[in-house]
Amino acid sequence: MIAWFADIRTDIAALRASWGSVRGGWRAARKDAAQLIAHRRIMVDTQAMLPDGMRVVLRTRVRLNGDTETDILRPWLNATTSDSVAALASTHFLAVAAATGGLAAAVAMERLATRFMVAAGTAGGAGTTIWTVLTTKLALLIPTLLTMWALLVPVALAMAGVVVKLILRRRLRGMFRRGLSAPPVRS
Amino acid sequence: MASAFDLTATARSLLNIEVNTIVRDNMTGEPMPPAPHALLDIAGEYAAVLCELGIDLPSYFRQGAGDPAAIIPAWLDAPTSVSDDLTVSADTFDRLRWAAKWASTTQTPLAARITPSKRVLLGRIINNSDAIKEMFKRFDPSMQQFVGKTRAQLLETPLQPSSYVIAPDDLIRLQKMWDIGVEEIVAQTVVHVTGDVTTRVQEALRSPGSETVFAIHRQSIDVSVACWKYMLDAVREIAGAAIRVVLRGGA
Repeated sequence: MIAWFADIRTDIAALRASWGSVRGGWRAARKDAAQLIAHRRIMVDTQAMLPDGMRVVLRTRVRLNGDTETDILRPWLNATTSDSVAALASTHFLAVAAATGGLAAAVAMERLATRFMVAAGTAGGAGTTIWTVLTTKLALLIPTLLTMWALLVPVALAMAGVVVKLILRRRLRGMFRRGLSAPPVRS
Repeated sequence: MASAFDLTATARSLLNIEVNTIVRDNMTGEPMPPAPHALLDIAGEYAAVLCELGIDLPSYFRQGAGDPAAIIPAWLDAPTSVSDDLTVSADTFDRLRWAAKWASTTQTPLAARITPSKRVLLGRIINNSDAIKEMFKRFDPSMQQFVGKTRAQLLETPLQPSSYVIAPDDLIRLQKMWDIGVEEIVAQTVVHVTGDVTTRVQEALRSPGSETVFAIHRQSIDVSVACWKYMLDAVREIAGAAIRVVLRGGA
């Protein structure tokens, strides 16, 4: 039980840490997480104006196996002052952090939501049960409990939390499998 | 096979991360093509580098060339291209591998053209060719329809992405090989889950002015390590108890 509450605290901390950097809120976080899973990597490009026009000068690919590659465009590197390179690189890596933070936010959010359902259902059900035990005759206890909406609703909520967790895990696993197994397509 | 897919291999691959920084002359937004074409792209790039170095690559792809390990090619100024001879096969990568091996180990005055950075590149060609040869052994039967085909033969029929299956780990590795190609990695850092960190830096980066590249590499490591934790967490969450045991065991 202690570990369970510790996990919730960890989830809240992870969500708070990643939420600040996630670009575009919950929908964007889901989208970034889906992109990472479906395409096996997240790719973030940063463009800059060069004499021959706007070009990608920094590209970072974060792969599903954790490997990261950063490409730097040589003509830009050679023609730009160190300060300007450093400034654009900082902006670029903020965007990378935001894109990858989406996965953490998405997972933590879904886990928190299901845990909240289970916790709220359990607490509500327990409170109602204790109140009923204290205020009802023993002979009538079971029939009373079985017909009380104040008990049935929290129990249903807790059970729904467990079911939703299983569904979400199964769905995410399916996305992972489809994303990893699907051959890449030339677009 | 897709049905036999499990996350154990992916979880294991997360036990260490590799952060590469590459300085490129060009960047295109082209995504990786279907795997048979990607294999030919990789072979084509390796062949082009070997020809640029002056290795007589046609001697490896000639009819009846025999065992590539036994071939002793010559150094040429402008070897003929072998791009039409490359096929989607382990044999093609075996020949490229032995040509790179010969170039990296031969000790003649003409071999002085192999600079230290080119020697690293030859090492990559050898290792990746070996890795691809191993992939061919693991390929699903659905990949057999492409084995032995040249680019021209592949282009004769439309390639349906759903017509073949490749193991996720092999696909991730292939994508990385295709992405990096023959570009020179200027800085590489490998971080192990045990806490070991190894950084390799190209010799040219010892010169003044390379601090900017180092700063970018450092930021890349920071982002990568942060993301690593998220991904371990996500895989643990998705896969459940079995993977937790693997990750705990690995850690």
